[in-house]
Amino acid sequence: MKEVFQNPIFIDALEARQSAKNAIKYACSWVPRELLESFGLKTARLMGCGTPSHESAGERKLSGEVCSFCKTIAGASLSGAPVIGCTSCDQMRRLSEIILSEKYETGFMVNVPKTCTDNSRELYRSEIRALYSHLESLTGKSLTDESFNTKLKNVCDKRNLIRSKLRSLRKSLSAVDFHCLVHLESQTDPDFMMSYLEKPFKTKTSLKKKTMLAGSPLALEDAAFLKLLEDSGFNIIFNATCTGDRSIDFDLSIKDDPITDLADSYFNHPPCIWKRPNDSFYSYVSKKLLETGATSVIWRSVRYCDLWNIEAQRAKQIINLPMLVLDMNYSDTCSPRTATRVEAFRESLPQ
Amino acid sequence: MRQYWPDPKPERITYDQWNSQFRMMPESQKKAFCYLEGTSKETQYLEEPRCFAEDQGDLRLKSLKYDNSLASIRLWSFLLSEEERLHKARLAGKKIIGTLKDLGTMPVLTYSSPDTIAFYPDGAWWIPCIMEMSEGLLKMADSLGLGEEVCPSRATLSAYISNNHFPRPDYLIAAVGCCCDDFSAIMQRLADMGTKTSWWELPFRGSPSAGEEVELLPTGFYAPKRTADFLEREFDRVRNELSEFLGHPVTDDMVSEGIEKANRFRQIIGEVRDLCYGSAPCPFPALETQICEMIAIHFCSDREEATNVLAHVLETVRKRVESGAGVLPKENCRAVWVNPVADLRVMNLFEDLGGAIAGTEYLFRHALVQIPTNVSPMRALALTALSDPMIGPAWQRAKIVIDEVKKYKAEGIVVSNIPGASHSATEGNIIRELASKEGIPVLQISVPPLTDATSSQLGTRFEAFFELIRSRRKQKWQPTPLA
Repeated sequence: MKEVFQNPIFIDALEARQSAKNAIKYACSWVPRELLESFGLKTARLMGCGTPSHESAGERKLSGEVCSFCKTIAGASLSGAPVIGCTSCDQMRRLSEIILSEKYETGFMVNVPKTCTDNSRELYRSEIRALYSHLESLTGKSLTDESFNTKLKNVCDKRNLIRSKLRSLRKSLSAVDFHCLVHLESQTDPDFMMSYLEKPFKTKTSLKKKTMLAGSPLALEDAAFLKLLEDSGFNIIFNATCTGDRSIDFDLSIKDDPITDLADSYFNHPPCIWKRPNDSFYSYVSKKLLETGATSVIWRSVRYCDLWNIEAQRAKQIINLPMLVLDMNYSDTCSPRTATRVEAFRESLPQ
Repeated sequence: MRQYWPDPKPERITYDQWNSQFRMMPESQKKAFCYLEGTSKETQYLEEPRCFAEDQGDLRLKSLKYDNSLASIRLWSFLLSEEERLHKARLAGKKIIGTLKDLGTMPVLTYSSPDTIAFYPDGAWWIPCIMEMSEGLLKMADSLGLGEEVCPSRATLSAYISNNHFPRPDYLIAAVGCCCDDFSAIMQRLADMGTKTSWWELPFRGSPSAGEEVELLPTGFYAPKRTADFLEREFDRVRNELSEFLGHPVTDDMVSEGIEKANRFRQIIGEVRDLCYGSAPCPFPALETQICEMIAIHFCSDREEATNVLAHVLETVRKRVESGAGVLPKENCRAVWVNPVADLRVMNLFEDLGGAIAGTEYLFRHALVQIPTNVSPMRALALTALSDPMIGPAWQRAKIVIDEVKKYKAEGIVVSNIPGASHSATEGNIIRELASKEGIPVLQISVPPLTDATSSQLGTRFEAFFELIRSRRKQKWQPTPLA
């Protein structure tokens, strides 16, 4: 696994995360970072270090029964930069709350609806409008309509371009490289990322078992887990976590009413497992399975991530493909136990 | 006023004593209480406790202690006969609505239609305790992929699938949004079972931004007006879906009447709480007051009789307070209890070792407050639902707890964590932090569905906590007022 940590994209992503300490943090992919960027703010997704030491540091601050991903965030030292929290799942909401309690003046919590109705769409729009007002008071900038529209469109165009470029690179990249690029994108500004993507990237070569990965978000350090999967003979043809393909599989369409258009674009972006009912998530996944030709699924949840963990049995029935269910903390990432299960699953699949 | 069999001197009695006492009761008294009154399925429900333990398998009853009043026997009988009541309600032509998660507000809407009964399948989380695991619900939950990392509410899914503990509802109304992850996942599994389901969004009650229009909530907190507007529309949407399901409109007038009846119930429970938590010696035990509060969430499937039961409790408690009688020694250490316990026996243990409940926060404060009557009924329900302590910042819930300490002059706080519950993972520390600023001692414990193996450990912790409180008494400690 050592070579993962020597991967140049991994190193760049790691450095980007470290140098983004003072960037305004957003807790989840349901916070439209483009809105923050249109105020001239450097943004980075709130991410912890996916290591056992950070996990146990977070456990000391919170409790044993918090999900491993949130623990790693709590276990990292946060700068005084503002945080935009999110209610996407209960654990993230409660973690955001704890972080925001130390950032009373600068923090904001985005209420993300779990239902998909006209009314909940309106709620989400009102949340984004409230976030806009919050950013005005945070930055002291009162953007006139015209200049705001121009800035937001500009930022959205750049992010659309990045997402589009990532999608086009996707097929030729290894799962590890793609994962590191998505993490790099989440920690850097659009101009940096656009020039970064101009570089040539190593293309993957071997033909392996086409598999979809779904589950809890992956920390950057989970690149080692992806490497384990690839070395075991899996081609992660689609990464349906919110730190994978799902996070780049949408475009923003900004027309006459920028805030509403931005909110609607995010409201319609690929759904997460916590949508209720979550039929739209399964429709999305089924479509992707057909498109990519994946013949098996690896369903990986982090310990105490109830949303993905409890759903595993149901997912097996709905997706109806061979599925490996893993419930892991960060000590398990590349443990012999995980490796054995992955290899056994690979063996169980038809040749 | 109705004449009741005279109560003996107030005390807590064992299961065997309770049965003996029941047998001495005149037959006329045993037949005095009915549920579904006025329907074709009107049923007398006062039963010897042994019936529930032996016939229904509610084995935990054998190891509990009870208040010895008639009101208490009536309360327990009413609670334990709920499953039968639901079945009979269906036979009497009522539609059974399963409300999920919001704990208190949606039943007010659903009971507004005379042909419906609402109940929370969530209540199944107590079955493993009440039946001492003999029912195998947690084992079944394991096989369904819900292991010990999930809170005991996982029993809801097994109970629903097994079809042995309550009738399958005709219609489900599920609250999501600001909701525990595990229960949200459980609700998704329930919705797969083929019952028509309406999902509604229970939004996060964020702190309003500066300059934002706000609404004052019945609990004294504020919510952004836009959030209240949103929730009012949600209630209206659910009302329309319910009307469509029932085949007749649920009108504003019907809901207003429903609110009036709910408020009458809530007024009684408010008086019971004030008398029980504010008096020394404590006039009514912790277990029974907890049941009284729990009934508030869905009226134990019969709103009218629930109100009668609570009125009976109030009358009993009032008499005891007036005569200075109680069921616990006056010097017991008074504490506010946070979160309901999965194992009911823990409340007995707490009192046996020298505790007395002086305030509670059982997750559903919004089911105890008066629903506003000066706004439209849908608005009133929205404001009440927004008062839910579980959908706002944890510090607000902590403040409710601290206010309770001050109101009832409690001497400490017991935070009873529910294993596997996501809120328990973080809230306890926040409550502790706020309490420590006020100089209030806090005991945090974790209570699984059966505590037999850990009762001595819990006992030691209670004793140490009471020791601390008694030592503070010598120092004439008082909580400092909030700044």
